[in-house]
Amino acid sequence: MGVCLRRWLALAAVAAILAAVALTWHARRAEVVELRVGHLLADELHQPGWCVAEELGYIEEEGFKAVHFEYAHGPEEMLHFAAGELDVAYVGAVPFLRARAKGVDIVAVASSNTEGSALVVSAEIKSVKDLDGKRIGTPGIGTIQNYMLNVVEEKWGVKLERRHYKVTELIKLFEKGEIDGYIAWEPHASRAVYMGIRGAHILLTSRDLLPGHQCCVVAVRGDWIRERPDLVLRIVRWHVKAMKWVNEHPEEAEKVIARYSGLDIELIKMAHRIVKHPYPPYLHLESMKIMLRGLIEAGDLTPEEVGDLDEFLREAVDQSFIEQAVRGLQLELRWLMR
Amino acid sequence: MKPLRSIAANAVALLLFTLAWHATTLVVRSPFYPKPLDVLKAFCKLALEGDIEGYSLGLHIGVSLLRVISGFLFACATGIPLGLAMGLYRPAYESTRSIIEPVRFIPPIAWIPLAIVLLRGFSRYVFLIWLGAFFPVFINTLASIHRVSQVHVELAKVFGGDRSFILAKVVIPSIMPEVLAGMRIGLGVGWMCIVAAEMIGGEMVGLGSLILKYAELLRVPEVICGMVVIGVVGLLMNELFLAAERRLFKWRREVVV
Amino acid sequence: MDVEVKGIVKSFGELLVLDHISFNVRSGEFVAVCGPTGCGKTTLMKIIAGLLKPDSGEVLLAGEPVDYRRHNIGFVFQEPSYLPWRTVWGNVKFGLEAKVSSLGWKLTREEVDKRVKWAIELVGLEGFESYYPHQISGGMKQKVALAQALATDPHLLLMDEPFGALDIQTRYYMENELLRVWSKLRKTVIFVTHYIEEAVYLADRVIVLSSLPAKVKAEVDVSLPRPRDVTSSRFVEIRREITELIRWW
Repeated sequence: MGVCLRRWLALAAVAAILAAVALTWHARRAEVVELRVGHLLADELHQPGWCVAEELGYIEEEGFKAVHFEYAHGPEEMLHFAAGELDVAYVGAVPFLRARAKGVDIVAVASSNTEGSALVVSAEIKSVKDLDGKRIGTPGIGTIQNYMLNVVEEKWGVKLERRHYKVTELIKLFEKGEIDGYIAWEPHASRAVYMGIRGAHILLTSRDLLPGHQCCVVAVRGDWIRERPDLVLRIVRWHVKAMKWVNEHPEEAEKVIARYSGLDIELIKMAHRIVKHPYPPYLHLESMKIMLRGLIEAGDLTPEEVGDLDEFLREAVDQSFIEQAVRGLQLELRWLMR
Repeated sequence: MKPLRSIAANAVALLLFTLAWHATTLVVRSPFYPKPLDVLKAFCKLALEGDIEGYSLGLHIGVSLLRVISGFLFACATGIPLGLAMGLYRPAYESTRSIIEPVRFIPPIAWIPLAIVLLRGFSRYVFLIWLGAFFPVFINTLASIHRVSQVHVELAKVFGGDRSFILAKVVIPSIMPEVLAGMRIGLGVGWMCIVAAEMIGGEMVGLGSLILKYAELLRVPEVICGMVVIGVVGLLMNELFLAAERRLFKWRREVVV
Repeated sequence: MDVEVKGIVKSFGELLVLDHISFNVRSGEFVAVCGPTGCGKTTLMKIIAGLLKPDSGEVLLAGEPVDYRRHNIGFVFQEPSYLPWRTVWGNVKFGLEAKVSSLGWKLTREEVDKRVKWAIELVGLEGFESYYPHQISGGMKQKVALAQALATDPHLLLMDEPFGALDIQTRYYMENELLRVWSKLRKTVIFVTHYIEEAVYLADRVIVLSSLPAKVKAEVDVSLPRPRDVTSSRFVEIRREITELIRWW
């Protein structure tokens, strides 16, 4: 009888401990955090992560309730981020780097896409040299697309007259003839070709200007990196899961993108070729370094604000979470498939 | 206050203000709260080299001024005659009040979406400035007619003066000071509308677009430069107007600001 | 020009102000109208000038109904009537400008200037032509009004308590100046005042009005040679007579 009781007690103890662990683990897991996520206007082709993760419930799985905020362009988003209105930002590399240089506490933790922008022009402009003196629209003076016009000017020795508008307005102004062409994140450039406006054709793409360049990044608030890495890991996890899915189900992804951006599925398919979604979503640091240099040359940032380029990037970026997330997913996969 | 003493006093006040500003930057350490020296440096750069796209500060100021003055002149051309007409024929005013008065309270900014779709380019600015400048001019003209001295009118009448004589030689000279004051206020309001109008987006030059540009680039010193330039230009225009008023109306004992 | 005021009746709403006022003024006569304050003297003057229409009765100038377009009437108001944005010269010129532009008077520029100069000299304002009204004294302001009225060479000069706002010394001075000017020109003058001494000092005849509703209480002749001595017994007597007539307390 004594041995029986002891065995039952031992089993009860183990059960109690297991239950406690499970409960606390579940409790921690069940800590639903409200998450404020920023993204750009009609930019789902570059930033499919957030909408796919929302659609497929990945954000919810990680214990977040996300509130999404949309901005006309990266610089505007960074302004609001600096004001403390966002926890996560899907934003272009150039506005991100600029915010960092100005002292905003923001850190990039994953890549959203690389390349993916194009310069579309009217039929009269046949070569890049023809661009000289022409009026070219951009989505904003602080965007990566505007920066890429610097590259165009330098590489081909042309001078452009720039006009900055909301990305969805560019095509209307192009149609009215107020601009001769524009550079935008896809599919807004291809849209002019798709709709056959003024004999539009793509003159240059990201690949021609800076092959493999980092475009949109996923950035989070710096204090969470330091104090709540557990939250950052969860964020990166749902982003990584979403990007994995995008890579494995391209056609399904296009449908989601078309729906969220409100654009034609055919157009999305057309433009998809120009946009790259690297998996695992590591950042392309080399191109970010080139961009930093370019911004300093253009007088946008001062050398004092940036300091040593490598050190700047080291502090601006933290890719350890991707590693963890990817490894975790692989383990899960192996466990599921055993 | 003697002019020299006034200048000295103002200089001291400015110096104290700048020192206080600098002191607060030591407490509030934010990248978006610049020191006065940063603003000064940014101003020098803007003035000497132009903005980041190569447009000179003079161009920005000139373009904004051009837009404001155009809208302002249009406001005077419509406000003064309309004010005169409505002031002299009361029934005209009374019967249209339901249309005029509500419009007065709609801020020019609210008209921006309509201005974008219905108008093109320069006319947008003229319209938005006109909205701001019109009412002070119109209302002042209208109200001033009520204040024309009855004695003067009777004097002209008893000498046999007809309506057009009374209008030209009594009414108009009587109301000039108030009309000009209304114009000065209208110009000020119009100037304040230009920044909002230029922040529509898509505008390359103008003080409003200058501010917007640098706000996007997260460069607050230049934003403050833009603000200061706007304030100073506005002040200068007001002072010029006041000087003109003092000159024209030296028959008055004091000029009200 | 002879003036006939016949049975003027005027009410403002319920209030009867003028109750059958009648009197005559001979050409070249200086008549004062005296009465308690608020008895409608200004209303009467405006009716005589043709600025107000009476409810009944009429005013005739040389036998014809008064019309400031046809008749040449000068009016010096009770309130300051100078145009502050014009200089002394511009103010005096004002009446002539109205006549030329609205009534078709044929005067050349030189002729107008000559008249203005004459009027200014007449009242003693030489040297102040380019001054603005706010730069000159109260008495001088009234001189401007007088010169302005005289510049048009009026048939009838109406003056409604013109010296009321002046201090006593300036008033005495202005009364003398007025007499000096009048004795040169011999205009028909109707002069309203509530200062009895002033009325007796200036006028050939004093028309005494009662209090509201105003009636002509009496007409008192003042046939004393000018300049008059305010302390003379005759002067004092006439003054007492009028004071008794005016008394309503």
